[in-house]
Amino acid sequence: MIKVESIDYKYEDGTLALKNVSIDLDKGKVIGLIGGNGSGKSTLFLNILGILKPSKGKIKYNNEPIKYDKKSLRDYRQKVTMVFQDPDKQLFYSKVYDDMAFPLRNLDIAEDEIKEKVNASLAEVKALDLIEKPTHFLSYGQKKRISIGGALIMDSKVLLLDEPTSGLDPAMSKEVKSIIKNLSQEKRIVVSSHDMDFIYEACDYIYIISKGEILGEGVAEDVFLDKDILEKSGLEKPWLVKIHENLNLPLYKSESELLENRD
Amino acid sequence: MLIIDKYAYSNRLADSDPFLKFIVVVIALAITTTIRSIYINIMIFAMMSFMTTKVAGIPLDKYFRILSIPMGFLLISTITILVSVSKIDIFVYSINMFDYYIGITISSMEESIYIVTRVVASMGAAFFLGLTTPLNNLVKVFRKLHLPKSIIELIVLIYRSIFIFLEEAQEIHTGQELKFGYSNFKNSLRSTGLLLRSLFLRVLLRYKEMVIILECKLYDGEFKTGD
Repeated sequence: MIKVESIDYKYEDGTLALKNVSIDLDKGKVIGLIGGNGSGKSTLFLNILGILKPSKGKIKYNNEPIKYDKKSLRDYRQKVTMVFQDPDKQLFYSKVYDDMAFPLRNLDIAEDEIKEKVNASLAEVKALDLIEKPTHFLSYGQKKRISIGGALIMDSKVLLLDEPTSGLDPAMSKEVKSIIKNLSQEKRIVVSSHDMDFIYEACDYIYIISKGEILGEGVAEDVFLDKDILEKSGLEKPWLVKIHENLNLPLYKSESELLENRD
Repeated sequence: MLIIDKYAYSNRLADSDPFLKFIVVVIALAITTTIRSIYINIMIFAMMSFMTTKVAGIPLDKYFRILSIPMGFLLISTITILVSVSKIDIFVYSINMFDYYIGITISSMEESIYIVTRVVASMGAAFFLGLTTPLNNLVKVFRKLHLPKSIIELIVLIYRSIFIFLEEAQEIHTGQELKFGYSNFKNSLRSTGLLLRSLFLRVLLRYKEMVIILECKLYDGEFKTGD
């Protein structure tokens, strides 16, 4: 899997966006990356994707450093793909089917197979009814489904999700959570967010990033008990952790767990 | 969102054979450019607008509103053909200014009517294709015609860029309007200047993001349509 080994990333103007960042995606099935606005989450993702090249350090896929020539990157991006924060920017074509089929057509896959895969991916994000729709007619939540579906279609080994719940209503957020849970059976997932409740429930291993540096890491139940680091990075504890600390309840991993055990 | 694109994807002919539509339009264009007849031009326009509005189901008022944009340009350019200047009064209608006559002659009138009908017919045909055919289907036609890959790439990217451009301009404009940026003439001028400046920056930014998306989607310099 992917290992980020002490990378630095410098912008053109010289500011250091990432400082000595190391991340190991073998630490969990769903890895959370939390940090405030401008902490470097998206920059880190773009480095992992090979869009940006770290100025120091290496990114390894299956213990091999990734190569930055065109062909290697093309192969690599079939294994590692990303759902961007703003679905409007991710959709390229005006028709759902064409947009989903786009990467597969670029790989010269037969159209029959593409059709099957588009259907399967849309079914996974519960958006089969949108297949023939123009993307402009979709709501934000529907667009999000399509952009997640569009990333699933490549059958990648690693899926990066940048702020997958931002701008979504509670019902859709919940659904994204369950989609992530399903997907984690077959692929490694990295989620960035500053929605602590979401991260706490969805992820099993968490990295905290602030001003381009990793301030802390650990399993979900531990990381959120460290008040100092959270405050320093401008984050908050998830509500389940708060009630654990203030109301003397055991530490539950999810709302449903709490409700089941309340007596 | 561009209204033209919305209709291209949602009209009743969206899924019909793009080659057939393309051929019909090419024939119509060939007829109006080669045969010099006002009546044929009018007939072609009538046929095309019938197919666009009645058959494909694009609302009549929207259709004429879209059509009115290029009509504006057409009218302005017709005036330059219609009106001529001469020292001798050879005009049907004219006004005398100093030593010159400015007016309309019979032949310039005939020529203008003919040109207007020809342009209107061609526009009707082009709009029929544009309003009823999704971009990807047009690309299919271009690929069949063996248009060079780079030309097709340009077409798709330009089409996409128009959207980015309009979306960003619309967003900036709304933002400015809410801050009273267009409340009077002076403000409007200033706001328009600012709009152009930030539009340029934002379009470049969106372009960068688009390139990233295309790379993630394994784009390799050719837009494939799956046929």
